[in-house]
Amino acid sequence: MSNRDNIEKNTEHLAKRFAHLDHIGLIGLPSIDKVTIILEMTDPVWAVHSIQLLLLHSEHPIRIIALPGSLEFPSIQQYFAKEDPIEFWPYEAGIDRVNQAFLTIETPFVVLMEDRIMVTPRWLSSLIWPCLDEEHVMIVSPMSPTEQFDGKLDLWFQSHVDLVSYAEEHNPRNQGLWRQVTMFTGSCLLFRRELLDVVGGFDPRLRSRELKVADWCLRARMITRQLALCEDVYVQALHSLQPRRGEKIISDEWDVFCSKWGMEREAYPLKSISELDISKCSIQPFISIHHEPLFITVFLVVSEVLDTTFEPEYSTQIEQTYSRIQWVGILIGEHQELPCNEHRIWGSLDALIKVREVEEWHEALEAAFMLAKGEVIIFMFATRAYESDYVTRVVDFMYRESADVVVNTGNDTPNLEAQVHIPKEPLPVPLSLTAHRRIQEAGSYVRSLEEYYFIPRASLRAVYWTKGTEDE
Amino acid sequence: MKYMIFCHNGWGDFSYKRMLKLLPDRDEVIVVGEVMKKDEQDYDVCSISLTNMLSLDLTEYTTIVCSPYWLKTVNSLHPRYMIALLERCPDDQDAEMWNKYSEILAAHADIVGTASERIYLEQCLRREGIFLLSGESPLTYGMVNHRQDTLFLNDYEMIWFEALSCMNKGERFEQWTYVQWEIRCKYYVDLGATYPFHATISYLAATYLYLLGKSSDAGMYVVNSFEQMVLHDYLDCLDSHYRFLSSMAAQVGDLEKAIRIYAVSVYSEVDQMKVIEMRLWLDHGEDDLVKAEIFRLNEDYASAIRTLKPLNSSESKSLLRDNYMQTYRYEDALRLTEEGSLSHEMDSEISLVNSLLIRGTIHMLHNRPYEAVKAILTATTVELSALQWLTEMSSYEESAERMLRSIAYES
Repeated sequence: MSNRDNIEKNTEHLAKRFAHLDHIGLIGLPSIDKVTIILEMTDPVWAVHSIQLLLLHSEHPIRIIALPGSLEFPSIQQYFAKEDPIEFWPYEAGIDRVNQAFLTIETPFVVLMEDRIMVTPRWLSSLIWPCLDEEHVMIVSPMSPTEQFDGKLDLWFQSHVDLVSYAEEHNPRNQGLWRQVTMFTGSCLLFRRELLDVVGGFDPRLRSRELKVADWCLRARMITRQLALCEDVYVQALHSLQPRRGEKIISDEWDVFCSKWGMEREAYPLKSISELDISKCSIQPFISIHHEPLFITVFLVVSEVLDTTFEPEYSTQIEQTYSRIQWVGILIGEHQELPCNEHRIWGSLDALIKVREVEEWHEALEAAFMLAKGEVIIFMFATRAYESDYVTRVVDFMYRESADVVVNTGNDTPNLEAQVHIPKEPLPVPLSLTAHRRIQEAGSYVRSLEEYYFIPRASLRAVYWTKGTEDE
Repeated sequence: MKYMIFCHNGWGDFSYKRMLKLLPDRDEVIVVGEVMKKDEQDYDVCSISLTNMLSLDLTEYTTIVCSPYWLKTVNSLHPRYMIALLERCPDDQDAEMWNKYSEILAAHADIVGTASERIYLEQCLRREGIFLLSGESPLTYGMVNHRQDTLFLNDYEMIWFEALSCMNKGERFEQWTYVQWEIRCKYYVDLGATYPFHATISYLAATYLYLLGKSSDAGMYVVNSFEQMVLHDYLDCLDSHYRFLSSMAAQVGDLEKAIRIYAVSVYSEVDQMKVIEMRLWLDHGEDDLVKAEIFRLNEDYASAIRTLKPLNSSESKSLLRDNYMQTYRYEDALRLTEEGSLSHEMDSEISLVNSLLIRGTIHMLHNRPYEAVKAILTATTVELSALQWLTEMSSYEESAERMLRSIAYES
């Protein structure tokens, strides 16, 4: 028997012994540290199931940060025991919650995952090993149906039992098999915490998850860090029959992405990302994960022409659940009883503009704009009743739809089944239902006898939301 | 929710066994006839004999009916909901009768499913609430807990599950029909990109685009399919393929073009008369009548009914009644006949005979044989040819009896 044969034989023996010890649980885990799992939740049924599987199949101690994907996401806390290592965070409008979760990470390894992912036995150690095999490996992904490039694998299982028996048979057989790849776009990624120190968090200008992840991977590769695809672990993914929030790439963010990475705008998004030559791209700046939620200026308008009674429910309007608000009151016309009483809400305004002549309404608006500090201006009129989460909802639409203008066209203000509709041409809309970014030439303001109107500039992204049906 | 399953040829031939595990709000599932003990356990179902089933109060059950021969029995028991699962005609059955009564079953059901895409598409052009129970996607769209396991659902299972959940809650479920059309449409459009000269793929892509109301995109697929058919010497494609373009033109409101295309696709004198009649309607501004008639002539009865329903003229009611008859919606047809708002030109004797025949059929389908025979015999006193209805009825009764006997013997 030659020396080479001996080495092969010995390696085989070693591999068998290793497999045996591993099978009976005598080999330690790759790391003794806790792993933080950031779970982005989109569907309560999926989320419950996904967390149950995380608790069942994670062989390491874990800490789960569960992030709801919308204001309407119901509580699922009741499905879990108090001692389960899960933190259910509330939804917060106007901020990237994943970046916020990144801020709290103290463990060396982190998993970023969507609730559509169903993990399989020993998934976590398999994902950690490549980081220990190779120090430059920074992000690791399993094979899954959610990857668009190398790691894409669509397997059909009738049941969870079938999935587990596949994983138990397939994963050990390919144990240790991983390779370097150029791009991830999927819903389950393990990364080293130090990645956040060198490239920062998700780019807040991007909205779709796929683009955020792709951008993050490109930034990691620019600083010579590696992406590892584990072929020894498969996780299942659920798909939605209808488009999910953050799934569709909108043209504005695609423009941002293309100019950032010097790509042709006409190219089909995913294909062109995979063909990107990273060595020709300019170095991208570090993106801080410290972001404050949007700061809002609310113009609270009382106009003589419009208001028949003069003691409306101002207080309910000003008691908004959103906290980062600058309040600017605008009083237009003669009022018998000035509402500047210190005991009333007018006393708690940050600024008050007052013009005696109704014809001077435009000047009053201009003055208010000079005082405005918020990134977004929301108009609230004393003639309408607004619910206490009105500002929160407007901020939510503004942020997640990347809108320049948000208009509520429903009869009632906030509602749970709001639908987004982006009109082909801008329409004049009541100012009292409008919010827009504080940008140059957002549009024009006009006044009729009954109502103030806003006409958004044609090139802006105006989003109309309403109750139940789309507004034509 | 309680479910009661009525298989055609016993449990062994029931091809939707996995579906029983995926039923929403599943409380108990009972199969009429014998089920093997192992299957009872595996699928979590109970079996019940025909006699015992008849003694149950079915008003709290949702019935799943897989054979048109169960129709009169199930109808007479007034179940909470009826789900029809349509199958291709078994080898040992008379195809003409099976297909006709399967249509009647579909017309009576609250929701219809089938694994056959051919039956599915035919039904989509006839009525609403039809779902395809087969597909190619390897992706997982949802899950259902069943006993200790979690079952993963593919696209059509998830759509079916969502539609049934809506039905159980008394909600509308059309949105899931659209979701399924979108999925099937994307499948054939993608497949068409790989096989651009495949007549059937192009035709199916065109059909789904048409169902989605996207006739402007569908046209090029049907033209492509028509060209392929002509190239391969399929001579009957003028009415099956080319005429389809008239329905598409009608869908986008170009009725002049729709009539022109239809006129090219017909030869007979009767059909040419129809063209003249439609041109007259168009000249008199009766656009909706033209539209509905073009749909009907393309066998798209569902669109024809949708177009005619809001109209009030006696002509539109008469056309609507024809469409109801073509799709075996006898109760609706009878209601229109009895409203007396149909065309005055209609001979009152013909109207009486029609009315009696429809009434007789409805009685038969609700297991009221005495009333059925009485109505039809009355009709024969005016029109002797009505007797043929009696022959058809007795053939149906015979087939139904044969199936019931085999189930009774089995259990």
